[in-house]
Amino acid sequence: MSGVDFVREVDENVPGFRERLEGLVQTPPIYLLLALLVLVSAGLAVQFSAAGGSGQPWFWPHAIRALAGCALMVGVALVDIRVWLRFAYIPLAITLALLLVLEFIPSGLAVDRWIRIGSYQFQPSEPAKLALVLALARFFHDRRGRGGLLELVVPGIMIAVPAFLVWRQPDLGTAAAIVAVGCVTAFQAGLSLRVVVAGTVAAVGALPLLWWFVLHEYQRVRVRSFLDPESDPLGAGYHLLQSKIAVGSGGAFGRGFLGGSQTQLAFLPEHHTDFAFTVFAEEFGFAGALAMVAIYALIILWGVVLAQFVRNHFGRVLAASITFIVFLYAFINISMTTGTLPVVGYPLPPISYGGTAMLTLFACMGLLLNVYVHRDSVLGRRSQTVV
Amino acid sequence: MKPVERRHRNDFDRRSLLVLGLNGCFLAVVAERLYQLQILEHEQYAARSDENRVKLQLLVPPRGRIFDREGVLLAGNRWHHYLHVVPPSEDEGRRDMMLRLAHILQPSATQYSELHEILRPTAGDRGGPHRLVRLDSWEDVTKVASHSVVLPGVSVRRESERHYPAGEVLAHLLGYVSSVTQDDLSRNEVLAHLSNYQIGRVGFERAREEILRGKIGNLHVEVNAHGKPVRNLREKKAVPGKDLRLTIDYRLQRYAASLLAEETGAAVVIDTVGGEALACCSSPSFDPNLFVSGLDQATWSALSNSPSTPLVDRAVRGRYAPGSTFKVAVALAALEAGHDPNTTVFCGGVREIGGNRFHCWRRSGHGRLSLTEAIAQSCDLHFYELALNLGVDRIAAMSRRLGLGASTAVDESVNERAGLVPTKAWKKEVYRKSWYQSDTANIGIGQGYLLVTPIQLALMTARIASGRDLGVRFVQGVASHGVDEAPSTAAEYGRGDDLAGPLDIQESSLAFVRDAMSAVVNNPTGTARGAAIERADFRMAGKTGTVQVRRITAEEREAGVKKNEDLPWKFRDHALFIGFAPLEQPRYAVAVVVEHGGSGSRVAAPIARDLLLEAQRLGITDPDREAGPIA
Repeated sequence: MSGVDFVREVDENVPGFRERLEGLVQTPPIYLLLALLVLVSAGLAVQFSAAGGSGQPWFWPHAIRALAGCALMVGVALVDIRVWLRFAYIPLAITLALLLVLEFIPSGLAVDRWIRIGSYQFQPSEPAKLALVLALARFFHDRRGRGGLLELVVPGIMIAVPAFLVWRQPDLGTAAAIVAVGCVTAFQAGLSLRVVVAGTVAAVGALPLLWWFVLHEYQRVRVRSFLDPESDPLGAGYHLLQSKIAVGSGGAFGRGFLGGSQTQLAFLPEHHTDFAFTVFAEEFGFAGALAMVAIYALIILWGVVLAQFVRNHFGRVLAASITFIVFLYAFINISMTTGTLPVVGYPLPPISYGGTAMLTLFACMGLLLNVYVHRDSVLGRRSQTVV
Repeated sequence: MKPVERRHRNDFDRRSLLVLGLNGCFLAVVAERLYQLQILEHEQYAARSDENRVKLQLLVPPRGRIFDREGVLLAGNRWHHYLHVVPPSEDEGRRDMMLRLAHILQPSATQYSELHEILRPTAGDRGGPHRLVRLDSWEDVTKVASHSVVLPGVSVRRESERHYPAGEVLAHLLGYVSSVTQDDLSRNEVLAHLSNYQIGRVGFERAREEILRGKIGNLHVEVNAHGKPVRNLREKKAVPGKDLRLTIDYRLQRYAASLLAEETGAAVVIDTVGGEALACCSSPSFDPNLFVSGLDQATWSALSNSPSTPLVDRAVRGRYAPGSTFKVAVALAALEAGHDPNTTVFCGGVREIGGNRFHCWRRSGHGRLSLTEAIAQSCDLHFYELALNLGVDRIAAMSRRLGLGASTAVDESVNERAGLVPTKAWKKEVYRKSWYQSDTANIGIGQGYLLVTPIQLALMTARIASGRDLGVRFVQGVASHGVDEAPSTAAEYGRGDDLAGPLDIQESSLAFVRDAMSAVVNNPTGTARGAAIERADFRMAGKTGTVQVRRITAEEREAGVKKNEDLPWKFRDHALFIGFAPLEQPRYAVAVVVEHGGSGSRVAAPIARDLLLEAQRLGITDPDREAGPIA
């Protein structure tokens, strides 16, 4: 070229970053479904391994639940988002009713989080998070921009009541998760900044009170043993220590499928439920564990990016907050099994054995897909239907 | 889009991306943690994982057995079944296990308290496994085995325990094993990890511990969280202990024990060809089986404080004055010094030596006696004379040549005492006094400072009988054999076949003394005439000894020496006898000591005779090892 061209030509037809991101979401959500498939497969492998290489007692029920979860996901996705918007308070109402049933009809066991109908068990504290997100999304969809005391009080009640009931069960981990999900949902949905700051200050101030007046003694023991697990290797710290040994002994590439001695020789307790991730990390190593974290991260990323391009506030809040539920599953459970959080008994669907968490996760995925389908719908306020 | 709408949308975008960013950070922390555990600290956790699952089990080999020369089992192993329990760490689990075990086993009171000690709710977490109750019946073993499903952490293991079929008959020589003590642990910590390990304490069990115990092996076992073994990883097999075959003939030993049953003393029979100990008996005895499973305090103090000291092996550790049996040694010393055996010495019953009056046992005296007659009639005055002429050092030299004053066993299998052969230098060193003539005179009749053990007397007799420089052997050989196999044959043990060389004593002197010893038994005037064997092919020769254990004062002599029967038991004389047979071609030598038995001729000689006859009857011979002419 003979002439020097100092002016860079801008081609108006080349899409910018935002457009390219939008293009990512415009394509059918094949990657989301693929990621989910990989996670379910990993869960099945763990359930098979935890039973010492046997389909019973966990692998087959787990597989059936995964199929049921898929059906649920498709069902949830196909229902029009306006229906979800219209009936958004119903799931929370049902969940609260079930939690109240648990509160006032105790079965005599110290820890009881289950509703039993025949041979089926159901843990209402799991879907409570999703129900709360639905209700808050609807609330802020209707009230956005209006401000006022109501914007603080109503979400506060919606968060506090289920959290309190779950804490009473007692299930500190899930109660904390409900509070976190509620707060993050409200924050993203447009809670005024002053409220956010005030709330944060109050929460930090409440921590010592929480320790002395809210936590049960066994929960304090767990927190203490978390801080110093080696001090009591056969007591409260035993689970955590064995889990850390299992994860650590997995090394870079793991002990091999069915080859984890901590799992196979029963040193690892609760290996098919709360410590299912540990089984995976022991047998598939750092490579497997990191890949699993990455897949969760991809799902989260996909959900938040989707939220950016949704043209209705309800869907936006849903997408962003549902991915936060998924994040909490991954973060709390993995941190707990690797010793960065106390052992609180928080599942990791779809790896952990447990139907309620699994179905909750699939319902979340279904709603996420639903939001994806209706990303361009413009929904009006339904303030007249506020209960 | 309305401006308000757009503002809210921007708010949402910022806030949701802020949350996403925070979430990303949290997940990065999770990934970093995984990196730390699985990559940086991997080795540490891998080691702890192995620590969890791999348990080192030490394998105790079966202890080598001990047989007599004919293959009779003297010390073996019996198998017992024991309940091994890994106590659950929770109080509730222990209570549950206790209830189940109690229900299934219906334990006795002692078994119950044993179980209770480990399984009571307040016992705390003891780890495990613990060896608890011994299951004595197959019924119990199968009960536990068939309930294994409801008894996780409970198993039945087979363990061997030492037992001694010969019991009291051979207790001293074999010794016994017993459990590991605190003292052992301070020397070897590994022992703490061995369940039911037993260590040889005395006798062969101790002297041959290295051979008998074998080599401890180990096994790396993979266990699950309940301590239940899943599979064996690597094993270093235990090497079973080697079997010992003794020279002792159990039948003769038992016979000796029966002869001494009512007495306190010792009897030793050795073979004069190879020096093999055929019987080596000390009485009273004890049951070594008591020590194996742990002795209670009462039994222990009864055994160790008994005035008759049953735990002491008199045959190899009892020190006695040899008395008149020593006269054969003095006679040999004299002959070797050129003494003419036909020289006679007059015995008037008493003579003065160094200002003291020395008596003959026969107060009236023997008159003039030649050496042969002096031995046969055991004249004390004759031997005072010989001893004084020889001097103590020449007697001591001869004593040593005959095996006194030193350990007799060439294979160092028994813990002997050396006895004492005094010399002038010895007295100077120990007592800082010079040697007196009266000391020499006392040595001449086998009293004074001189001390010998029964086995030394037997060896002395065997050396005189064979003319060979024998040593005593207790072990024929060692063989590697599994514990459940048949006893090894003699040939498999291997043995040194070298005959001992000749003694440094002229054959003519030895022959003279052998003849004189024959006269003791076979001459009408011999002191042991009553114990003679009236068989031309198996005549016995010997020498009696009667040893004072108290000093007879001059006043008592005036009043008349009391007869033994009139004295309290502990003041009666010791009765001794040494002998060999057959006279022409000696095969067996014997020494008998009966403490406070009274007279050697009346008490010890018949026992010796019976032992020699029994050895002959049993035909304890070695066809491969006939005594050839002495080179």
